[in-house]
Amino acid sequence: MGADVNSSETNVTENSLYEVLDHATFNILKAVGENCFFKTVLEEMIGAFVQFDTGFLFIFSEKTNKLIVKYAIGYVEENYRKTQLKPGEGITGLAFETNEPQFFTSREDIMKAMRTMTPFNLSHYIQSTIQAEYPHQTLALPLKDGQGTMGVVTMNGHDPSAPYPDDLLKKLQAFASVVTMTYRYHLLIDRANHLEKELALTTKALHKEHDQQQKTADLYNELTMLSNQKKGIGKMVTALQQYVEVPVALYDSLFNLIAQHGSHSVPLPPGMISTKEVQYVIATKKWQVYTGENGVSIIITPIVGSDSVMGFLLAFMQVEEVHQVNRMLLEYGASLLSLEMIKQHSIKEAQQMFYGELFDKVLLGVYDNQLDEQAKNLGLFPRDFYVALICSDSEQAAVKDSRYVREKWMQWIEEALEFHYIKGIVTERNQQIIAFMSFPELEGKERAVEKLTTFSEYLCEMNKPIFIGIGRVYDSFRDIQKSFDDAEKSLVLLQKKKNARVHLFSESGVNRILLDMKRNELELFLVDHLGVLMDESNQEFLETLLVYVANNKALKLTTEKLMIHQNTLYYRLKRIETLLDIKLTDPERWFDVQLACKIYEYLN
Amino acid sequence: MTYSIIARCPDTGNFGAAIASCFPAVGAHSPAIQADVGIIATQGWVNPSLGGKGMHYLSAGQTANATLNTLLHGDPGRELRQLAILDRFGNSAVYTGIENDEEKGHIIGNQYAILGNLLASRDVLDGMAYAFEHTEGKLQDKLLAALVKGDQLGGDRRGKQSAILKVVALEGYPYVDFRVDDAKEPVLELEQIYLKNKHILIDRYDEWVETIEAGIRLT
Repeated sequence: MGADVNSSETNVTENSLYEVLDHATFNILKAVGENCFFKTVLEEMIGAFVQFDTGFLFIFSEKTNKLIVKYAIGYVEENYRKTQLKPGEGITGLAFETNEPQFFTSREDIMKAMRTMTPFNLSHYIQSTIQAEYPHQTLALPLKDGQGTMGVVTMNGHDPSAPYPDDLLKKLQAFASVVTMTYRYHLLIDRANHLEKELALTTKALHKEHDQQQKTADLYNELTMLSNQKKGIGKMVTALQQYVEVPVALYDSLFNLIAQHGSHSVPLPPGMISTKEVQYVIATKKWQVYTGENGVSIIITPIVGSDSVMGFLLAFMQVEEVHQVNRMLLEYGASLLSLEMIKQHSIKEAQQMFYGELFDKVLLGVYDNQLDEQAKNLGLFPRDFYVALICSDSEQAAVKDSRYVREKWMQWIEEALEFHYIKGIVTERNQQIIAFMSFPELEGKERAVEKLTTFSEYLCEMNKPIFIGIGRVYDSFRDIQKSFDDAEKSLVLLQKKKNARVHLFSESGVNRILLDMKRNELELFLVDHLGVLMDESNQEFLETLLVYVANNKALKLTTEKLMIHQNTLYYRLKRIETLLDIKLTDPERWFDVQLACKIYEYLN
Repeated sequence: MTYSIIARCPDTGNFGAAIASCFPAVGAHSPAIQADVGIIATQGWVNPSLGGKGMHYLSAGQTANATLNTLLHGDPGRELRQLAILDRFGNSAVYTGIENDEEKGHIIGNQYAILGNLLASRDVLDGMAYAFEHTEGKLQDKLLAALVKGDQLGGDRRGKQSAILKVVALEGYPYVDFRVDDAKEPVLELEQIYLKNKHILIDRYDEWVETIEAGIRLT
């Protein structure tokens, strides 16, 4: 006999039965939701009714339409687990099918009733039997309630003399109802536990999605607010960085930096634009991750304009941090930055168109009331002082993509004007950058010249690879054209200088006059005053004279420059006087020679 | 070169897919399904490892959308692929990479998603969605109806070679899992195989599982 066979011989009285049932009910309720529920139910039922010593607890499976053994006492598990009864099959199946208890009190009746079982199930039963004999009593009790029958508790007794009071069945049925209700409760608890786990997962997922939604909404609100308040792209990039929590920077399509958070920039790898990742981004207009040899990864998100990539939003992080970055925010931010850049580009284009129209009118001398109004709208007042500036590509710059280069120079000129508190408008015209600068009438012309000189020196110090010609200061808006002509002449003079980049027309000296002279007249002057020195055989004397004039007759400076002995210089000067048939000590001749040397340098 | 439908049965919670392609043994690469967790289908220039990786995130409770983003983030070839995910909550998330060949696209429906590339036309997707929604029966019947409709509407414009119908009910116990790896009419053949054999395991699936667990024969 197995250890779990009920062998209790306690003869419970009527009063104590209620106590036993009460205790059993308590234990069954305690097992609700636990894995031991079925075991507890069967143990408590058999324990409460001493007439029974073994039994099965069957539960009906709606999926398979069969009664499955969930637990048994007094039988071998390996075998009873194989039992699957159809409704109507055997004593248990009959109880389930009829919804009525089936009570057999003789071994013969039991054996007869069990013959309705399939050979397999009967075989499983026989093999599982520990007592090796059929019981003397079998009671199959349906577990039913208003919603239907859920299973059957089948209990067996092997004591032929066990008492069976008349009301035993009623008491058992009453207790079975309690068990049924408890089983419903057990199922609900089981379901509740499952749902609780599902709910926890759902809540976690929902929270994460909500967090993402909230961050996206917050980012959208902040970036659009900054855009509406015209705070600029720099502020938008800074705001974006607060959300993605890694350094970000915005670049144009040639990887010129547009904006970044803070002053510390993360260096880009050389030839960034040529990397396969960037080329892929340009081709697909979709983000990519570039990972450098230094372990830094860069998420490259394209800033897509109306038909092409107009820039890149770069986010920098260590390679192991790539998966932690909120890429959705980067993509969202890139879209909003794209809109802002398109907006600013459109404004700039409209502004440039407006400027272009104004510049055309001014330079063509078409002055009318509309022009004056346009100028006033731009803060250019008629009686302020005005200067024109022309910026032209140097040969070095010309080999690059001139459109982007000119945009860069325009921006630089605008920033330089702003830096020097000079009011000005800058535009591009005929592949040149042109600026009109104005100086307040109230500050006076002297102050205007002073500010212009400082500005010119600043441009000169920057030593950018471009030529900048600056006209003279004029007294009214309608004289800008004259300053523009000056600036053009300054550019011509710059071409004649070797190292200069910036030229103020007011500092042109005699060159201003030479500019207005015809070349053949100047050449005739040279022939008249330098004569034979211009022959190839006399180049040494011509060079000596040019240096002597440039050093204003200073013998020491001249010999040092020419790296000759003083006697050699005396000799050459004598030869020059002889060849030109003049005396260099004669002031009038000396002036002619000085002028001729200046013209020689001007023409060459 | 593939069109797929993935779905979750709102009643049973089962996940399933029906896929056809002009590529041999499409079922070897997609879908990845885990009972009570989710389903992932990947196609285009298929990256089958996404299925296993994605299942890890779905098991951890990530939504389809979050899982999709995680997988795309780590896949440098994301623009070459189509990736569809359904989670235990019934959410669908699909990505169609820009480098998939036209006609391409996807549809997200209530607890299902349809995706395709190199399609005969966009009608394939729309027709599949209609067939899925208007077919009565179990999930596998609805999935198969959608696939047959896609096939009738031209399916993969490059041709036909393989198909799969797969539904997972319980982990470890194959439920619906039929494949045609190389055939002239793989979808029709798949349908015939399904109709011919479904009574063997599918119609008595629960009994089969019970007998396996009980250690007895299915009689």
